[in-house]
Amino acid sequence: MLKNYLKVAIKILLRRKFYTAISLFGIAFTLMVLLVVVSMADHLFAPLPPEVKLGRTLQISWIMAKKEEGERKRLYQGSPGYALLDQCARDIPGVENMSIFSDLGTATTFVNGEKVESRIRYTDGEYWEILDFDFVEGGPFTADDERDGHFVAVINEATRKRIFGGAAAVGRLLSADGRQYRVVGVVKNVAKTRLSAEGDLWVPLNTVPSQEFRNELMGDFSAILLAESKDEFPGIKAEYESRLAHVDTEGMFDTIDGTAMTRFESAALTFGRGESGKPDVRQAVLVWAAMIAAFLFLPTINLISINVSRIYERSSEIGIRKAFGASSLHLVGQFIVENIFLCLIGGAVALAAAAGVLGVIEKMDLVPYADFTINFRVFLYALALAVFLGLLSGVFPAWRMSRLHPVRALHGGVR
Amino acid sequence: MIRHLFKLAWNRRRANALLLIELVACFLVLCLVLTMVAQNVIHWRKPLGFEYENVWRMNLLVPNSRVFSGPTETDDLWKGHDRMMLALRGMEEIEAASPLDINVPFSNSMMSSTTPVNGSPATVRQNLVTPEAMDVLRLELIAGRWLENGDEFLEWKPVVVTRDYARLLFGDENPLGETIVTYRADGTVEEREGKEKRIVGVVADYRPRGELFPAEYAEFYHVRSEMEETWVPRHILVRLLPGTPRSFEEKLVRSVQQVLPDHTVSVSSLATERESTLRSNLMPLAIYGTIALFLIIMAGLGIIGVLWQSVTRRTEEWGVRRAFGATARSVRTQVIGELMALALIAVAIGGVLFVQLPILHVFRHVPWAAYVVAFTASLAITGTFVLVCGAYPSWLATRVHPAEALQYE
Repeated sequence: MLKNYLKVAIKILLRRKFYTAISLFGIAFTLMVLLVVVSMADHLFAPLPPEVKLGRTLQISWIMAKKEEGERKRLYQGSPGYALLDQCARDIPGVENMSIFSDLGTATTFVNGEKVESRIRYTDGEYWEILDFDFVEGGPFTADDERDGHFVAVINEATRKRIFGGAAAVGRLLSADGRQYRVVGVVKNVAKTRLSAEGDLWVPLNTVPSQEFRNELMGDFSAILLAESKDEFPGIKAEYESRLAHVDTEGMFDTIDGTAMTRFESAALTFGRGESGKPDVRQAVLVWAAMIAAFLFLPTINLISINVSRIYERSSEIGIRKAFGASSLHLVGQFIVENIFLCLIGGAVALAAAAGVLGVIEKMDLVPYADFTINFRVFLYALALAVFLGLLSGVFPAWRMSRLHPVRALHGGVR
Repeated sequence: MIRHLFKLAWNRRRANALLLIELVACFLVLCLVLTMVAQNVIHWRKPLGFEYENVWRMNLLVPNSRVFSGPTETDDLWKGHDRMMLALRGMEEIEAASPLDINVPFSNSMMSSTTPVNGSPATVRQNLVTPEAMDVLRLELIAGRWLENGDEFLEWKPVVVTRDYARLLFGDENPLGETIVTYRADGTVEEREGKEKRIVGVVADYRPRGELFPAEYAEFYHVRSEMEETWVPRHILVRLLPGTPRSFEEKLVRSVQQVLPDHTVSVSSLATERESTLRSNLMPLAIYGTIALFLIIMAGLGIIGVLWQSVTRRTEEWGVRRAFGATARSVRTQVIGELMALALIAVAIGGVLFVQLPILHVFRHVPWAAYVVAFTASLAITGTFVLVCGAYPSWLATRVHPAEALQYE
């Protein structure tokens, strides 16, 4: 049965190649754009190295502090400070390990008079336990290095190339902003989509020129909390939030809001910021869905109108099938199967095109060090999207088709 | 004739409904993308208000400068700052240097205050500078005077404001010598801490975020006039003599590090910063534009396909018309005319939807002119688009031979 449908579908697709080409072009282009977006999102949310434990990780990278005096408002929105994280995020029950590290800054090195800028991150020792970096040579620095303030550094391959010309770097000295660090490890480049792991150069927190940051409540730091399991998340969040409510800001702010977030929730924060600075996941998902729907609108209408007008081409076929007793449901089923089949072909083309576009994005270095290969997950998304588009654009034309009156259909002229 | 075309379109309303929705969607996509383009073009054509070539910015990571926590000992920091400024002035490559705290041109972070001005809240960018900033930024002074050395010791705070801000505060009256007073929504005067601000000069537009952004409300005043205790400037702008090589950077960084060994210094040129902000602001536009272009090509091909189909199905009609003496041209006019009628309806619907955007203020900072330009351009493009789409199918209709057509089936 299905085989027959497909045979008929191929015959019909080959009969009017112009229509088939237009439909395919529309389907392939639409799915390609969606696939590029989906695979980028996948690279943001999936637990890829070095964030392999992302599924059990909560991050704290955003707070909102407010003070109101009449109509004058003071508002701070941004990263928390070290002191705040130290007070509120340490030793929370249910947390297996936690790390506080700085946001990315810039460190300057001069190599033969040429300036080399590296994105530097100050971290503690636990950072290297939670994140699973891929070391090309050497290894991470440890909590002891951090405590004793050893001037040691981990760099990525790109930095090794820029500063040491690609030669083995472990044990060599690297000067960043005029301070000398001994390189202890070299890691593979980390894509910018791995938000808490990316960087060019990592050095211990204790080597920051001024340790005053340890008293700062706001600015420049983030924390990641590795929970024992996912089920601990609500408890961890609640504990962190209740500690946040009791922070003493010496009158600078009335309230500090925020929460520990999964990667998905922190992305949701951009689109749906609920009351009290917590991400509104439902609103964000709604916004995303609305954006996709808005994008899908024109292609779907286009496909529907092509499909509707193609029905008339086939009115004799439909008339005969109806005359021989095929039910409307049969015809609807057949047409939808055909349409999904076409969408699957378009999906295959889209997959190839998306791989090409992602390759171009990689080449242009729009997302540094990203490796947007299409993985099995993205392939499944492609499949689902193609079937979805096939249903969306097939149901209405199929319904129209099934309503053709057999006698008039056989006559060939339906208005 | 035109009424007749609308009637024909109406008679085939079921077949035309999908085509109509498609045209409306195309028109809206065009309008939205062109509004973005128009907005950027309109902004681009206005002057920046300052000169960025040969200006570098120095970012200092200052130890012990706590922005949000309580005051710390900053006397030493200020002494260090003064020593550094002195060292900068001593370098022969440097023409002028001034701090410009936080609000560096072409940077995304900014310090501004939102206060109620005459009842409605306005965002005003505060630029804390020294008198030398004029030589660094080369602003255009249009009234009064620029800041002078010694301003910081006055009992009041001399402020230079931008033209737009002066107009917002005092309308067409002369703002020079006036005190900046802000009112609450209920009309009462708002008390401020510190010295009162008095306007001594007005500069023309100042658009530190770059060519793609509107002019801002801004105040310039002496960095020391409040004698703030809690921080020192962390961004210094230096104007270099034309032709200074990039390699001067190392010397600059080294000499600052000599004066302030516990600071971290990094340098970038405003021209580079401008390029990177431009790129990051134009990139989304390029992406939306490409997607819109492909969507419209796709819709165009779809419309050609649907028209083709409907033209071949109406063979008898063309036959009858030709038999009664209609020329090929008038048949062609009818096909395109029907499509045009449809497009007109689509544009009317799309226009009603589109006009909601400026009325409801969906996008802030988009001038009315951008909407008008975008609407007109979309109208023209939709017209051309429909003509192009109709060209081949309408030619097909004229190929019908009356005798054959009447024998059809």
